[in-house]
Amino acid sequence: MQSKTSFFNKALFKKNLSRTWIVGVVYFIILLIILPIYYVLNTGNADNYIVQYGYNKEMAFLSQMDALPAAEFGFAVSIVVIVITFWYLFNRRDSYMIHSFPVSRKTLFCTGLLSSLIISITPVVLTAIIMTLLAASSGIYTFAAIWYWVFHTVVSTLICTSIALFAVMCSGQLITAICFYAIFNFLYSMMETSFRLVASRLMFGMAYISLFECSPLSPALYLREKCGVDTSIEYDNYGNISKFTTSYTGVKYLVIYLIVAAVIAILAFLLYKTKKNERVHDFITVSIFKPVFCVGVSFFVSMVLGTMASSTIASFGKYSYDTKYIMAILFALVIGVILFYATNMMIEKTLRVFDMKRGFHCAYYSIAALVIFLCLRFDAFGVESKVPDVKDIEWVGVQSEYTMTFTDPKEIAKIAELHKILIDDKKEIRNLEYFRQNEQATLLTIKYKLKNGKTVSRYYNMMDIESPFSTADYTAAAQPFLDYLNSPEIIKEHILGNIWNDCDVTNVYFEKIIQTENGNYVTYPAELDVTESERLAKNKRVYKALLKDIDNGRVLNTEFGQVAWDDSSALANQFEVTLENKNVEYFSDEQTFDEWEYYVPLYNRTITISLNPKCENTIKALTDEGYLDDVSEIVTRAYYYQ
Amino acid sequence: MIEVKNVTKRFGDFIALDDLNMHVERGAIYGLVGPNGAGKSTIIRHICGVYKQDSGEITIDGEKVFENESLKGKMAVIPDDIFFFTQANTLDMMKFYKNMYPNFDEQLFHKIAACFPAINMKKMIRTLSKGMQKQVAFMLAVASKPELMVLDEPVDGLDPVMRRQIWSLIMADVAEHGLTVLISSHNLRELEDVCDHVGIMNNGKILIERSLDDLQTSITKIQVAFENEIPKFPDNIEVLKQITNGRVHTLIVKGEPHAAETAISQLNPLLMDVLPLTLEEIFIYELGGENYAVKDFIF
Repeated sequence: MQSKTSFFNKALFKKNLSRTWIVGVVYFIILLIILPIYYVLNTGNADNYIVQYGYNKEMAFLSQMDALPAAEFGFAVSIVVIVITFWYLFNRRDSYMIHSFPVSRKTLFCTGLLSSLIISITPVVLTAIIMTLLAASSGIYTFAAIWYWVFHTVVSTLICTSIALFAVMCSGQLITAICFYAIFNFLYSMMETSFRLVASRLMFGMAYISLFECSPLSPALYLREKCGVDTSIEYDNYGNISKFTTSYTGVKYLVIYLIVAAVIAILAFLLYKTKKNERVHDFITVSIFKPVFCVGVSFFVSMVLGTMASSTIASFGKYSYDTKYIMAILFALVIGVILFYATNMMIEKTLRVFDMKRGFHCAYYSIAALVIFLCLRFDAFGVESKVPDVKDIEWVGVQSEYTMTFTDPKEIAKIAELHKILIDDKKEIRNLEYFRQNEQATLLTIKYKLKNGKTVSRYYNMMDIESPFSTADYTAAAQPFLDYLNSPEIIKEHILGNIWNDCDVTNVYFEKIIQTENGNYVTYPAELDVTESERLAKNKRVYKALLKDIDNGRVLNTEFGQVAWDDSSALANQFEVTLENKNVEYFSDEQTFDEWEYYVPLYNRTITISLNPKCENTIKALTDEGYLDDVSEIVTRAYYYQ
Repeated sequence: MIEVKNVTKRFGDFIALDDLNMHVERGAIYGLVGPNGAGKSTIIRHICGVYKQDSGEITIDGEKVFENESLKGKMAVIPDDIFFFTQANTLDMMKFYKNMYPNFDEQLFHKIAACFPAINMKKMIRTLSKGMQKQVAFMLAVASKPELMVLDEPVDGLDPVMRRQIWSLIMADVAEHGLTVLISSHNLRELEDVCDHVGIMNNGKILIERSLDDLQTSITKIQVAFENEIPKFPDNIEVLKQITNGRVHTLIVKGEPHAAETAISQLNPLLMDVLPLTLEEIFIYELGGENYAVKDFIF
C-alpha cells in the first residue's frame, strides 16, 4: 500500500529559502528605490512646478503608480527564482540525490512553489506597506492605486511562475528552460507576427499591416499593455490641468490570469509527476513536445526566412507576384527541411538523424507546409478578400493623397462596395503593385474601425490611371473609387470638414513668390491692411471661390498618382484657409483615422490646399481681394524647383 | 525485504534492465556485481525511487518504492557521485538530514563524527577531498538509522584505514539493528569480506543470485596431476576452464566441491588439491560463459 505523502517539507523549504533569499533582497531594494524613495525625491523637489501647473502631490503619486512596472517584475523575478529553486532538475547528480530523499515529487513541487512565491511576492507586499504608510503621512489616501499595483504584480508573478514551472518541467537544460520560458510567454505573439510578416510580403492588400498585436495568449505582454493603474490628464487652454482621472484597468483579465496560472501550475505538476529523471540534460524531456518543437520551429522560421529570401531576391529585379510566391515556397520548403533535421539533431544530441522514420516525418511536414502556403496563395482563409460586414463597422477611413473618414452608414456601405470592386480586380492591381511600385504610385489605405473595437486595414499600391502603364482593367477597377472620392460633396465634407457650409473663414494665408534679378525665388506672405470685418469678408469671398473650384473638379482631387503634388501642375505658393464654427465641433477626419490617443475637441481647422493653375476662381478671388498683386506671383513647383 | 519482479527499463532503444528479478532478504548484505554497463546503477536508482521502471514491480517490505515518502525515510542512499548543497558544511547537511529523515539521531551523528577526526564540521563540504566527502556521506547515512542502506561504489576513493572504519560501522549496524545493505561495487575482494549474498548482473539481468557460501560451493577449483595424459572426466563433472602447466592441471569445475573431489579421485591422480575460489574468480568464470571473458590481445 502506498503511503500518504505531504505537500510541504520544512527542510526543503528552509533550504530553498536559503538559496533564493538574495534574489528577494535585491528585488526589495529595487522596489524601494523605484517606489518610496523615488516618490520622496520626486514630490520633495517638485513643489514649484507642481503648484504652477495645478499638480498636487496626489496627482504626482498616482502618475508614478501609473508608470510603475508590474508585469515586467513578475516576468523577470519568476524565472530567476524558479530556476534557482528547481536547480536539481538540470543536474543529473543532484536530481538523483534529491529524488532519493524521503520526499515525493508532490512535496518537492509544492514546497518549491511556495518558497518561490514567498521570495517573489514578499518584497512587493512589504514595499506596498511602506508606500502606504508614506502616502498616508503625506496626506494621500488613494491607497487603492498601491494595492491594485500589488494585485497586478502578484498576478503577473503567479502566471509567470506557473509558466516558468512548465518550462522547467519541459527541459533538462537550464538555458533551454529559460528559452522555453520566453517562448511560452511570447509564443502566440511570435506565431502571429510570423504570419503577419509573411502576409505583409506575399498577400494582397496587407503590405503595411501591423506586425505585432498584443494577445491574451501572450500573458506577459498583455498584462503590461492592458492592466494597471491608468491616469489621464486634461489641460485647459493655458496649459493648466483641468481634469485628472484615475482608473484601474484590466481587473477582469487579472482574475482570468489568476485562474489560468492555477491551471498551468497543475499542468506543470502533472508533467513533473511523469517526468523521467534519466531525461536530465535532455533538450526536451516531454516526448510529445519533441515533434511539436521540430515542426513548429521548422514551419514558422522557414516561412519567415523563405518569404524574406524571396522578397530580397525580388527587390533586385522585377518579378511577377506568382514568381515571387513560388520562390518563397521553394525557399521555405528547403529551409524547413534543413531546420527539421537541425532541430532533431539538437533534441537527440546526435548528427545521426537521417533515418527512414524521420524521412517520412519530414515529408509529411513538407507537404503540410506546402498546403498551408498554397492556402495563403489562394486566399483559402479569406483574408485578402475580407471586407467587414457594414453593420459591424463603426467608421471607415480612406487615405491616399487625402485622409477621409466616413461614419455615415450609406457612405460606409459605398466604401465597402468600392473596396469589393478593388478586391475583385486584385489580379490586375496585384501585378501592377509589383511591377510599378515606384512609378507614379500612391498608397491607398482602407481602414475599418469595427464596433467591437478591432481594426481591419488594407493597403494597395495604386497608380494614376493616366499613367502609360495603366491598363483598361486597372482603370475599370480604380475609376469607381476615384469617382467617389473626387465628388465635390465628399471633398467638401471630408477634406474641408463638417463645418464647410456653416463657418467663418477666420484666416486665409497665401504666400506670394517673386523672382529676383539673379533668378532666385523669394516667398513672403500676403498681408492686408484692412479692418477685421473687411478681412473676414475678403476671406469668405476667397473661400466661396475655392468652393466653386471644388465644384468644378479643379482642386483637392485624388489621382492615385500624386498629381496633386506633381511638379508640373501644382503651385509652389502655399495656401491655407482656417474655418471656424464656435458652436459646432469640428470633426477631424485625420484624428479619427489615426485614432489619436490625445483627442482634443476642435472648433477650427486650418486646411492646406495645393492650388494649381486650373483653380481659376480661387486665383481670381485672391487677386481681387488683394492677396495676390499679379499672376506673376504664382509659380508652379516645376519652375520653383528648377 | 527488497523484491524486484520482472523489471524492464529502456533508455531509447537500449534495454538497460531486461525482465530483471532480484530478491534481498532483511538483514542481508547483498553485493551486486557485474561488468560495466550491466545495469547495476540503474537497478539501484530504481530501488531508491529515482527511476520508474517501464514494466515490472519493485517493492520493499511489500510496498512500492516509487514516490513512497515513508519508505524512503527508512532508506539511506550513498550514490557513486555524492551530492551536497553547494554552500553547505557538514553541520548544515546534518540539520538538513535531521529534518528530512524521521529516525535521524544527532547524538549518534556526533558519536560517529568522532571516528572521523580529520573532518572539519564547519568547512564547506565542496572544499573537502573526495574521500572526506564520502566519509561525511557515511556519517549522515548511518546517523539516519535506516533499515536499508543502498551503496553504489561506497568506499571508492577512501584510504585503507577509512575503508575499514566504514565497513566496521556498517557491520556494527547490521549486527545491532538488523540493517539491510545493498552494495554495488567492482571491488570483489572487499565484497567477499562483507557480503553474505551476491547477485551477478550482466546485460540488464541477474545471472546468479545466491548466498556467498552457496556461490563458493557451486564452483570448485581443483589442482590435479596425472602420471600420463589427463583422462576423460565423468559426465557428471562440468569443467568450466582448464589450465595445463606441465603435468599439473588446474580445473574450474561446476558443482559442489566434495562431489567433484570424489569423482576426480576415482581417476587416480598423482596429487589432488581442492582450493577455495575467490569471488573475483567466480565472477570471471561465470561471465566467461556470457561472452565476457578476458580476451587475448595480440600486438
